[in-house]
Parts: sequence; structure tokens; C-alpha cells
Amino acid sequence: MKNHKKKLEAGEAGYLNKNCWLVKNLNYSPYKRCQYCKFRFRNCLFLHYQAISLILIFFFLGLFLLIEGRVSSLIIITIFTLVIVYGYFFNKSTGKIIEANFAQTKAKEALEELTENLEEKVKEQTEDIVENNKKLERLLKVKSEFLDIASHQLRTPVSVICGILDMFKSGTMDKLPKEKQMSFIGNAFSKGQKLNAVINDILDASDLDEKELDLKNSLEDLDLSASVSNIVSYNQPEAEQKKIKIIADITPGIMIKGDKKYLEQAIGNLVDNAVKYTPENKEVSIKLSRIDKVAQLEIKDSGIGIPGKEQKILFRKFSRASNAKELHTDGSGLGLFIVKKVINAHPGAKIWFESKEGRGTTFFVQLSAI
Amino acid sequence: MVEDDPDQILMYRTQLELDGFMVFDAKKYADVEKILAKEKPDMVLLDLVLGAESGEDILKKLNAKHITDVLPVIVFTNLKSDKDEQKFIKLGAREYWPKTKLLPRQLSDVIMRFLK
Repeated sequence: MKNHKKKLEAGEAGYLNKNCWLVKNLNYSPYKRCQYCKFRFRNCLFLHYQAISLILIFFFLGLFLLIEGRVSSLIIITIFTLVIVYGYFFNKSTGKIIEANFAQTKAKEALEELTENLEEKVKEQTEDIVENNKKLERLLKVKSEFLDIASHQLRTPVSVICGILDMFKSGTMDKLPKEKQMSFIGNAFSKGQKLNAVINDILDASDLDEKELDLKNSLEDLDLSASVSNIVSYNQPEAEQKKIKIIADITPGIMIKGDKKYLEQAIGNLVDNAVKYTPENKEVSIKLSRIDKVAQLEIKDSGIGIPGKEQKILFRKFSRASNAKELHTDGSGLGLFIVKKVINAHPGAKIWFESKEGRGTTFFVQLSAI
Repeated sequence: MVEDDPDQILMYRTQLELDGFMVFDAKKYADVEKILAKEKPDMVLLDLVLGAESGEDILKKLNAKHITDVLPVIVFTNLKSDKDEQKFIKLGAREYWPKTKLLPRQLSDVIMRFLK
């Protein structure tokens, strides 16, 4: 690339050709045309053409002084005049040659720069295309994974609900005692609730993608301790099925300003994840405490943990840790995306996590207490 | 039946037992091995989305021990089936049955026909 700082370029008024011995010693250009010249002194066209003329002039001048006779003098004066005329025209054409040479060099440089820029642009655009292609491939992969998981999460409750209803319709249930029939109704109901939750997650995520969540008008005084206790109770049956012990340490009476529906959904997602990713016979710890004016919730699981390089993208939409996918556990990759949006929509609130692969994850949520 | 969702186990087990089948449920490969040794079942219904061990892992282990050569293993799942079907057949599954297409009594009929 060219240096466009104050240093003068050839062709600009005041430019001094530092290659030229004459310029270097005089510190100015002897001719106007020298501002276009980049040659060294020995390549100077002045030397090549005009110096020869001068030498010839002096040579014939000497001869004129030495040789006597009118004819000889006339011949010498004629040659002398011709040499002067020759020198004059050569001097003129030298300027033109230098300027033409300069223009050609400039055009060549411009062409080189253009080629260089063009190459750079082509390179940049190729890189952009490759990057966009990669993004598109990632998105397609994420979409396909989401469809696989979402279809499973939607189909499972539907197949159970339809199966149970069909067992009633076909008379299979008539062969069973009343209590067993009721337990089937309970199962169908709980699957209906799960289906509802999955659909809500998908709709909420789609809605939240378009805009930031605005909860200013729906914030109310909320008993966070009561909400967390309810969420723990709600997750207790699933934990018991997996023989997971939920250790809850909830300081009672912690009040915050919050949106009950969204906040319970967000905390519910965190507790649900903790139970989901904790193996059988292990523990999930939930602690709610007040530190000055801050309500702090800690949800610690004994699960698979999140690989280091994937921690940055965990709150992104459809993002699921690779080891979670390998486990073939249910999960749309929408839960944490919604959690982050909901927590961010509460003034002064924040969420973060600490995780080590294979050792579990602890999510921390801080909300302004009142 | 290799399945980890108790609601589904209860539903399918109830229907199949009422239709005269004996159902044994397993959640991981170790359970499957025990049932195979003790109960000598006629077929295995294998779900794919399980806990720590996936249905695919279990199928691979059964295939590695050539159990799939003598015992029909049916992949019975809610996962999207388009491309997966061939994959699991190659891994040793005899057939691929989507759960949403089979109500419990239809499952019972299909098993009956399959075993005949």
C-alpha cells in the first residue's frame, strides 16, 4: 500500500528526487521536469542527450578558434548552429519523455493497486461467503436437531394422552379397578401439562426472539420464597422417580418485585434442568438467601456439567451442550434462552453459572429484594 | 420393553398384559441382559431416548453380541423417523415403529402379527 502521509510523491510540486546526485547536492530540482523523475543521476536523460550536445558545442567552438579559412569557419558555424538546434529540441523532448515516463509509471502503479485491491476484495468476499455458508450450515444443523428433539417432546405426551384415551374408548379401562383408571387419568393430565409447557416454551422463544421482554407493567410484590418452594414441590415427583434428593434451603419471606408467571417459568426451567441432568441417587441443592438488598438463588446439580468451550453459548436459542445431546435427554435448547431473557427483564437482576464437565453445574440468580 | 418413562411403561404394560403378553421393563443394558438371561423374551421393544445410556448404545451392544441375529429388536420411539429408520436397521434392529402411529391396542395387534 502507498504511504499517503506528508512525504511528497513524484509529480507533486516541490518533490525532490533523493536518488539524483545533482538534487541531493543542490537540494532543489534544476529543471521543472525533474519533479517527475525518479532516476538515479547516471540514468538522467539530461546527461544522455544534452550533455552530448554541450560537449559537441565546445568541441566545434575549439575547432573554430583553431582552424583558419572562411570555408572551414562557415562549415563549423553551420555544424555549431545545427548542434545548438539539436540540443534545444532534445532538451524539449527530454521533458516530454520524462513526463510520459512518469505518467506510465503512475498508471502502472494505479493498475497494480487496483489489482491488489481487487484481489483483496475478492478474498474478503470469498471469506464472507465461506463464513455465511458455515453459519447457514450451523443453523440448518441446529434446526434439524431442534426438530428432532421438539418432535420427540411433542409426540411423547401426545402418544400417551391418545393411548390412554383410546384405552377408555375401546373399553380396556373397564377391565381395571377404579383407582388404576384414576391413576391413568392423572398420567394423561401430567402429560398434557408437559405438552403445554413445551408448546409455551416454543411460542415464548419465538416471541422473545423478535423483541426484548418488557415486564415493567407486570412487576408486582412477589414472595420469592413461596414461589421457589412451590417449584421444588412440583419437581419432587420426578426427582423421586430418579431417586434424586432435592436439598432445599429456602429462607422464608424473601420478597421481590417480579413477574410471577415468567419468573416461576424461568426458575422452574432451572430446577427442571437440574433434576433432568442429575444421575440417579445423586443430589440437587437449592438455596435461596438474602444478602443485603439482594435475593440470591443457587441451583446446584450433580450432573454432566457443561464443556468449557460451550459455556459461552449456553444461553443462546437452541443451544444444547454436546454432552447433553449425547445423553439423549429431552431438551429443546429453549429453556435457558427463555430464563436469560426473563431474568434480564427484571431490573437489577442477573444470572450466571459455574460448571465443570463431569462435576455438575451451579446456576446463580440475583434479584433485587424489597 | 426398554423404556424410562413410567407413564408409558404403565400404559403399554397394562394393554399388553390384558392381551395375554408378559412384559418386563428395563432402563439400561444391564437390566436388558438380566431379563434376556432369566426370562428369555420373544422380542425387545427398544426406546431411543433414555437416561444415561441411549437406546442406540443398547442396540449396538446387543448387535455386537449377535443377540439381534436371534432375537428381534424393534425400535419403538417418538424420534423423527425419516433418516433414522435405515440407520437403526443397519445397527441390527428388525423394524422401526413410531409410537405416535400405534395406540396401545394397535401395538398389541402388531406384536401378535409380528410374532406369528
